[in-house]
Amino acid sequence: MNLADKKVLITGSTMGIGHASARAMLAAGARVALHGRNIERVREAIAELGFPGQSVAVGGDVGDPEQCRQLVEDAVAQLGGLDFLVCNAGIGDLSYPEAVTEEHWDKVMNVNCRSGYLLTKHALPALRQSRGAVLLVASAAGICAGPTDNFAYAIAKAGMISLAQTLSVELAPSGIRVNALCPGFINTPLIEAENRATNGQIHRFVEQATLLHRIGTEDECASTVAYLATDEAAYFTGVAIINDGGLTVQRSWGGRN
Amino acid sequence: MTNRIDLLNQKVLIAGTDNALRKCVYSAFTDEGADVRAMDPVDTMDRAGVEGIQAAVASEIARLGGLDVLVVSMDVSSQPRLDHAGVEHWDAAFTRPLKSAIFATQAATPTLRNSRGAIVNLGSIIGQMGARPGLSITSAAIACLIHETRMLALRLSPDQVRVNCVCHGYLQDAEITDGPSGGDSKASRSVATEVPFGRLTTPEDVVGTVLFLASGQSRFLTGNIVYADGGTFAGH
Repeated sequence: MNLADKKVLITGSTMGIGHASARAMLAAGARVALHGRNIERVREAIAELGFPGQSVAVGGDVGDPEQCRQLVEDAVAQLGGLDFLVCNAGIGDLSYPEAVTEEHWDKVMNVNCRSGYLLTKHALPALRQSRGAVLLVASAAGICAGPTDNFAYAIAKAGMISLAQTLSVELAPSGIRVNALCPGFINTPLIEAENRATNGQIHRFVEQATLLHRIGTEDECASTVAYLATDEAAYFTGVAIINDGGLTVQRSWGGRN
Repeated sequence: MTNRIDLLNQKVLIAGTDNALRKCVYSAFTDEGADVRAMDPVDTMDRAGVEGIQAAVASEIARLGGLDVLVVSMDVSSQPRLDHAGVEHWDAAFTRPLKSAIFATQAATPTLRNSRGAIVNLGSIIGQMGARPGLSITSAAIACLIHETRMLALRLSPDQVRVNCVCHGYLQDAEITDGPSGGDSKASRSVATEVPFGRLTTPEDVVGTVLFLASGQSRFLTGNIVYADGGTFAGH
């Protein structure tokens, strides 16, 4: 895989899928702006990855519209352009439909859906120049309903998939492609924390619900993200790519409502 | 059990902006002998917040003396293109309509669990496909309502509450996307090329499906998305 000279911004890249994806793209020669809410933590992540000459750090909360603008402008300035925007930052959710509060709803929708729209908007001038691409990281939960204690999360991710569809139409005349990635259960810190919070329920569920009987790894997601940054992926636009080990194909909801 | 749609004396609340579709749905339920009330959740939330929605839904349920059917309708709202849209447009076409729909539904759910009632969401096919520029925000909100249909269907199944969604086709020519443009040719698209039935959707095209999904005739349907769109979503 060759990403030499590709300029990438990936939000939420201090850990999890974002961090593994940044590593995969750096290893393929890309220059990557890593992002997190806490810029010190981003600098630590860059040091851990070991590609200091190819990495820059940006900070900010993607739930905040003004910080969305600032972090994109900061990344574009430091990289000197942008070829690939990966809107990956997101937050988890443990709330049933009858228990979700307004504050929680707003936070999940703003971080997990509105951010995709605003980050793409602010990246437009740079992406028009490069005829680049956008990847919105959604979730298999946004395709197929499962256990409903991630009510707000799953709904926000369905919105993110819709944005990939509509923005692909809007931005095609500018040569910009927009896709969504829908990971299933991946062994990210977010999922592992949820697993602990539910006494191992996530792992038990994944083992019986996926065709491959296991959780996915961050690297298995990262390789897909990195592929979508390559010129070989140039014919993908407006689609949601599902990377879930056979979770959604059987429409198995796991036996709990 | 008869093979006809029987909504006599059913208690129905319609939550949505007052427009031609809501009026048509209201009349159709009334014609079937249902007791019907209507409210505008966006307007209610703007005036009194989420607490106001909860109070308004409770008050409508009290007036009806219970609730068997909740219809939640979300409008198609055109906004500026991505370059020119800002947070205020996101608020207008995503945050406010979606949040008010979600919290109106949440407020009505305990009563529907008791009555083993039904929820019918009303959206548009644009929530499931690449809609034209300017409709991306509203499409995302409708996509969220569509997915809420599936999530709630699972959550409420133990109480046999059914949750389904009707997606109407294009209501206006302005919703139809321009063709891909490039070089000196520009494909032109219209109802003739985009709708197999060759015309826009009218409220009367949609309302029968709403009545069906509210009635016992659809007693084993839940979590379904039904397209009343003259064949638009079927192909390309």
